[in-house]
Amino acid sequence: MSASTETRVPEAAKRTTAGWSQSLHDWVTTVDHKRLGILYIAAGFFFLVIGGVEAILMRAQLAVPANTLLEPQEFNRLFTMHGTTMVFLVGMPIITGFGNYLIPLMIGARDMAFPRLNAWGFWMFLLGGIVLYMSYFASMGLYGAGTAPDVGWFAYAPLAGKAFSRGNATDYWILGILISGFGSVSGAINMVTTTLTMRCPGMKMNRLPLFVWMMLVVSFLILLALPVLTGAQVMLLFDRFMGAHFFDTQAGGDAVLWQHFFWFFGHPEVYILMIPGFAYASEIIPVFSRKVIFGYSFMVAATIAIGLVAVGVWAHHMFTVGLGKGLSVWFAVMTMIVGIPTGIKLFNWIATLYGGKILLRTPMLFCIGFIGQFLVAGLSGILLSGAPLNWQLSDSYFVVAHFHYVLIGGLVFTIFGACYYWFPKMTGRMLSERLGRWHFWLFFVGFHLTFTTMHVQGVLGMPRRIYTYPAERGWEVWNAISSSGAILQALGVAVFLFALVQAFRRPQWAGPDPWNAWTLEWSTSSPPPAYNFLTIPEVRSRRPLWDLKHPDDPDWEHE
Amino acid sequence: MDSEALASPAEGLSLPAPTSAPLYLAVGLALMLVSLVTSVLFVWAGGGLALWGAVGWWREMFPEEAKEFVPAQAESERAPEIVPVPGHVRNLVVGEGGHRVRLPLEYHPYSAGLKGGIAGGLAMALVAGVHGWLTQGSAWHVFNGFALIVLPFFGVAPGPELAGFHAGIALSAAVVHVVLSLLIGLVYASVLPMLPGHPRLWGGIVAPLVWTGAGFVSIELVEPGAAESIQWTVFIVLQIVFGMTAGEVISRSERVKTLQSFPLVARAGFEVDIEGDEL
Repeated sequence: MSASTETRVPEAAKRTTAGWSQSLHDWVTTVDHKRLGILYIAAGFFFLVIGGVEAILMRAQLAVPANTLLEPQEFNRLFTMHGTTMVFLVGMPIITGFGNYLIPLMIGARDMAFPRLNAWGFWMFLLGGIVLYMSYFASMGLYGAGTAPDVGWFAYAPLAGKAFSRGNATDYWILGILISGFGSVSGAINMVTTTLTMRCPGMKMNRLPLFVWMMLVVSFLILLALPVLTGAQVMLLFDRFMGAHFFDTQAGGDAVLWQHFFWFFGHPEVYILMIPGFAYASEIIPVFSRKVIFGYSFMVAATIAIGLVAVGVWAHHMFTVGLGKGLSVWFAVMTMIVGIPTGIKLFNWIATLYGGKILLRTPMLFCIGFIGQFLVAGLSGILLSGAPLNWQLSDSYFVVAHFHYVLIGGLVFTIFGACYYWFPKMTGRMLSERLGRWHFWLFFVGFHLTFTTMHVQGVLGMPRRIYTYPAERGWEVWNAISSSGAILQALGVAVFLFALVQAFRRPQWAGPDPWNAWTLEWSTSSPPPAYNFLTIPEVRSRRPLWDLKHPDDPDWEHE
Repeated sequence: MDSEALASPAEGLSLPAPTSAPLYLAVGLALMLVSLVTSVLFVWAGGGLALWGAVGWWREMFPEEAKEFVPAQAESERAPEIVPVPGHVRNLVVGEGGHRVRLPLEYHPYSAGLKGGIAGGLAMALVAGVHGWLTQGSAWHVFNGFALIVLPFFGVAPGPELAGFHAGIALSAAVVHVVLSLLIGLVYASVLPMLPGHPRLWGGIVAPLVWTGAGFVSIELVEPGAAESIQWTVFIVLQIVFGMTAGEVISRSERVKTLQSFPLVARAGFEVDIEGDEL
């Protein structure tokens, strides 16, 4: 790996004399995919801090039995807003942001196919988030003014109906997600079109970086799944505002129908969030193993297979509804089948590591943490796919542990890895390696203290969403450990934010290719110019920069 | 990558011009939707903004797309030319010195696994019987313990009651013991060729210790209270006896080639002589 830093101050970094108003105007009116990508990511991290504070408050409440820090109603609002925020306002914008920033650079294009639609999508997402949080100030809920939604991130019917959710806090939830959903769909249309039509010469589909392949599959999943949620939310609005009875069981409606609609979106959503994590790992692990990715074709096929199977497993979230033997067996088996392509990916990452010259820099640390944690997440998922065990563990802390292993152990770890990896490209500055290690270890230990223990709480019968518990259940120690881990995680994120600030206060210049990497984004300056590439590149293999750096042994001779 | 320019924009490039139209449209649509929970005035305000944004967007695109000219970076700002590194990458070849790859090109036949399982199971039962006879005056105590998982069906609790002969328990113990022995024998036959180093060490020591650890952790979940009635030292010794016996029998069997080591024509189902093929 080449020297990672430069002492030369980039000219672009010197041009910081533009006034705040001009700078703000430039960012607000931008249609540049890179700026929009950074806006998505920054907004995602802003909401991550908010969602994290909500999580800390909940863990503080649960740290000791019979705690009175929070009222039950406040706790309900917190877990509703935390779940909704983390899925729709953190995960979605950050994956969209990285996709926006990197796809054109990786395929040798100068922008996304629809730059103005791209900007519109970002603003719709941000406004959706603002509408959701407006509920804290503007909505009239069951308990008076200023009551945020309290129906869970799934808003099950009939709880979300007018009869049980008075006032309009639930309407803020519906409208906020509805508005941000338009942004996600427009972003997906943009990514699909860009990938299929704007690749540089020589960038055949079998030469696409795995990142781009995976974002393509994710975009198709968004186009398939999100409109179903949007449709269901419009039906719920009809129920609440116009007296329709889609989900009103008293009037011939069907509450389980909402669950089917929600989880037909909700389970693909898990893969919509997780496959980008796979994408980051698939770019980072080879570079820091100094090896080509193992099994490129199988990685692509496994991603497509996950995308296909993902739309056939939604009702495993509904075993306790009473699906009947046939459907239970179908959804259990389909869920187990997901383990096959996912296992292929895990084996391929490990095989990439095997025999490599491994460099344990911060992005790699996060990816290695991800591999182990995602393995556990997958295994506990297969456990939960067994309907009988699911009946025992459903709505327990075991399930909470499982999906946090997926979304934090899997996605958030890879997001942090991606931040350390691509931050130099986005800003021209390196993030501190020393602070990065502190960040990793604090977050890693905190994560395991919080969520590994939750498996035990679940097996011991602790239900999720309870705001407190009596002392004699044997859950005290586990909850105390979980809550202490949350503090370590918060410290880890604080170190990360400090590292971001330090990167601007005491810049360590990165140069165009600090990791000695192989995809096209590293061939242009850091940060890239508005047009990305002055001349459109032409590629002959999956690692175009390798070919340039090693003309005696180019990849296209081996692929 | 080829550095040949497909276009030569030495001075700069025209890119889509910045515009606030998408922001106006987004704010307008959001306000219109939010009017459901605020005021009907928001419909009008939002509608106006959305119309403003939509018209602005239209004018960005027609009669021709609005562009702005972006000057090219100065030479000093551009990424420097990539300096080639001469030489080839040296690839490891399977089997060469220092290469640790292990491919399942040969395996022990399933029959060896079954034989190993039977031998290991017999050795285990023999040692268990002798140990029970020497320490408790009854060969049945430890052997009946093999039926621990089905004891509730017979209304017998783990403990002193197991010292006597119970036909049902003994039969159950025999069935459980035989089935588990055969299955573990088959697993050994499949897995041992894949493991590096000494198969006897893996089969005789490591696997029994792992199995014991897993059993120690999980047995309370299967049968609460059962862990206290198990003599764990004896348990470990019995596992090692099984592992060493089964591993020895399996290791002595003649290995057979797996299908992947056959030539394509043989894998395609044609009858060919594969004796002389190099792996």
